[in-house]
Amino acid sequence: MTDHPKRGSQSPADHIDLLLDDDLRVFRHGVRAFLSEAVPTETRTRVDNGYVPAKPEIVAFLRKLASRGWVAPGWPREHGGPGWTQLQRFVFNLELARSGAPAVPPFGTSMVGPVIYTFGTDDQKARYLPGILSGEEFWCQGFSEPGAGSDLANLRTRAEDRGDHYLLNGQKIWTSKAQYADRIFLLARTDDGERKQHGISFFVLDMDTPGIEVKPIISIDMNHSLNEVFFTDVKIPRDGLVGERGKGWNYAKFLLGNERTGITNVGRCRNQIERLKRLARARGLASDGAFLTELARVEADLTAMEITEIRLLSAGPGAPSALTGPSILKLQSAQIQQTLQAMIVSALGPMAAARGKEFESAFEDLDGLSPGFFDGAVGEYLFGRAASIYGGTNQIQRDILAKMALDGRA
Amino acid sequence: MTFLEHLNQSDEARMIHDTAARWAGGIADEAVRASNGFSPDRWAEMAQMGWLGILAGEDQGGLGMGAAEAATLAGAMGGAKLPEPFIASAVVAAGALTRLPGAATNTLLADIAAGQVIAAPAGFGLPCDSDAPCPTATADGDALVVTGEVALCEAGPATGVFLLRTGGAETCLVLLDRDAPGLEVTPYRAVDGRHLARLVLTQVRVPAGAILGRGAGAVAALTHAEALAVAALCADTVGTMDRALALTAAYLNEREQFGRKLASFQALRHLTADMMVEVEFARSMADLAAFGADGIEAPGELLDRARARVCRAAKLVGETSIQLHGGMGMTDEMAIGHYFRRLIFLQAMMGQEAGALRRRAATLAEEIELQREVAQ
Repeated sequence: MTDHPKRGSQSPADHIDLLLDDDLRVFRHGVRAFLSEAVPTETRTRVDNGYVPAKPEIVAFLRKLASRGWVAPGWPREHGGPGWTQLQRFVFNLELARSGAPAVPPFGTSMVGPVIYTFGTDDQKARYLPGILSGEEFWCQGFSEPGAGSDLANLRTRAEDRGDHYLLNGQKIWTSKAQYADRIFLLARTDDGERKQHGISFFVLDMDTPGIEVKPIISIDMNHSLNEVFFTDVKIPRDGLVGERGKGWNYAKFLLGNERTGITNVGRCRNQIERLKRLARARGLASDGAFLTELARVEADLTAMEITEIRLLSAGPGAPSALTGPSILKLQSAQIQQTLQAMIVSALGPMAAARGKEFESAFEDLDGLSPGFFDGAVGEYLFGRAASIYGGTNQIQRDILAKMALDGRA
Repeated sequence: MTFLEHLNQSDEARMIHDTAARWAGGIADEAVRASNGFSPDRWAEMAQMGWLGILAGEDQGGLGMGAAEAATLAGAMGGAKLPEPFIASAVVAAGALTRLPGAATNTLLADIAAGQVIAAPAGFGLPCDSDAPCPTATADGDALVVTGEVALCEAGPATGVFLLRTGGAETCLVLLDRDAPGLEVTPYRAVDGRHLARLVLTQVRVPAGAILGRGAGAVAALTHAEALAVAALCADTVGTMDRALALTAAYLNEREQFGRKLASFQALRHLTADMMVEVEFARSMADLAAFGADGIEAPGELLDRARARVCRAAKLVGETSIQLHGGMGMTDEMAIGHYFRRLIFLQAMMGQEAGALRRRAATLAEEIELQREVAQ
């Protein structure tokens, strides 16, 4: 049994095609054709149902991407990336999500990689970039701390200069995939500055360094992706410092601001609409006026988000500013993703009450859908609440926008 | 033209945008209030700048430009909350006429461009719902005899002609003089102060020369005019919201309570941020609508999405801007209320969010029925 319509590269033209030029359309179809071969049906089903793929599935897929040089779509050619335009990256991300591919972990490709090739030494580039580009080395992000969430500059983890090394002590939290990671990039205080943003430095470190302890955090979807990471007298070699000592806050801002594409998850949202239609068929909602209106409404919302992202990326004269655009998209993408997740759970009906492996093995199918469709949807809804919390909460994004509108500054 | 090229306006289009923004930006709130729904002087200025002929070909006395430029002008007029029937006459009526070639339409387009004739679309475009019932025509020799009603038509004392959609054996677009025998024009006002009228037609005789389009030709012209209407209305709405947001931000920075500027209260700041998001999403949809009206074969579904999303933004921005003005927002004295009223008018012309979603809800129901039996 499969929950999927027939797949392949022959998807019909949609309104995105209408918005692209011929070159981008050809590019899009090339990407689509490659992905339809590269993503195994089993993986696609799991991803589409809302499950997070296991590390081996991710690694297998990253190897295929690496064979085309597509692991890090945002990187310039000189550092081993494909040198794509922003709009090529938009199209690539869209097709990646639509294909049901495992999400490419952003920590190496979108986060630390650009910091290393922009601010790192030649030795650091040679040592770290190849492992990211091949998809073989996994990274995690050590930014947040128990006392430094939205107020990140309040961080307390300290790296003391001990001559031939820095001695690291402190704690990070919400560290996604730390249990899989080979390396970590982190912010730690090296000096006390006038402002709390001063005196922070940016480090890279191997996860098997003595003194690092990873403790799982079980999240509300009852899964393990988040962790706490404790550092007790961890020796960071001197060449673990990236860029200038004390400039870590600038690099962190660069890191967070530089990834403009892929933040909206448009492709996944489109798949969710297709899933909602299948679910609606199974649950007899085709005549439910309220459901249909809500679906039409979220579809219009999604179109507006796609156009807004394209406007931002094309940076024409009428484009939203580089300062407000990302916050606007972050807010709306969180809302649209969460709306779709909630609509799916609502359409599940009574069986939204069930969760877990026993439930999955208790039924062959439910109204023509696999139990995984139900269970995955509930899990995704639960963990999906994070979309309005991570990467700057909705409230932080509104603060940023209000500064622009009311105080005339960023 | 691709959407990306559309986003990167031509120099000519940018010039029109800058000129319109400057001109509209110089019109004071008091001047608009004083004009009581229509200013002959402003209308003459619009004609002089060529804007009333924005869509007509150069051989028809116009500028020969497209939906994007027409939308740009509509946006500027929204920002100044001008009550003149620019969209009605120069965009919707003229837009339909450009698709109905003939000597009569050429003359009419030239007269509209010159500001000598104001044309009002009746039964299509404003509001956007050409599926609604319209007056019925029956043949009488090569003439038509039309009976029926158009409840809402954007027409005032200065309106000279009506471009009327008729039903019956086939859809037609006919030209009616204001003083045609059997045509009763009852004036009333719109919520934002502009002139509207109810048309009642009793055995109105339309001679063959005034039948500008029939059947497929008329339907094609209507479809084009409706697309232009959506594009212009969306742009007008964005222009109106831009100004409502700017007025609100200024008010929050000026007014103090509890010894602090209102702009320092986080609850109010976050509502302002929500307004910004809505305006930007609406701007995207307005861009899409202008592109759709100009560049896509069958843009109907995208235009529905555009007006639905823009209506939602208009509602939120309008209501929030009043809320953030507090008690002062309830007064007619403050300009913000006038922008709110214009947003109500524009939503009504766009068919309201729910109305705009209705067609898509129906096709979604069909798509759901077509989902294959997944368990097989």
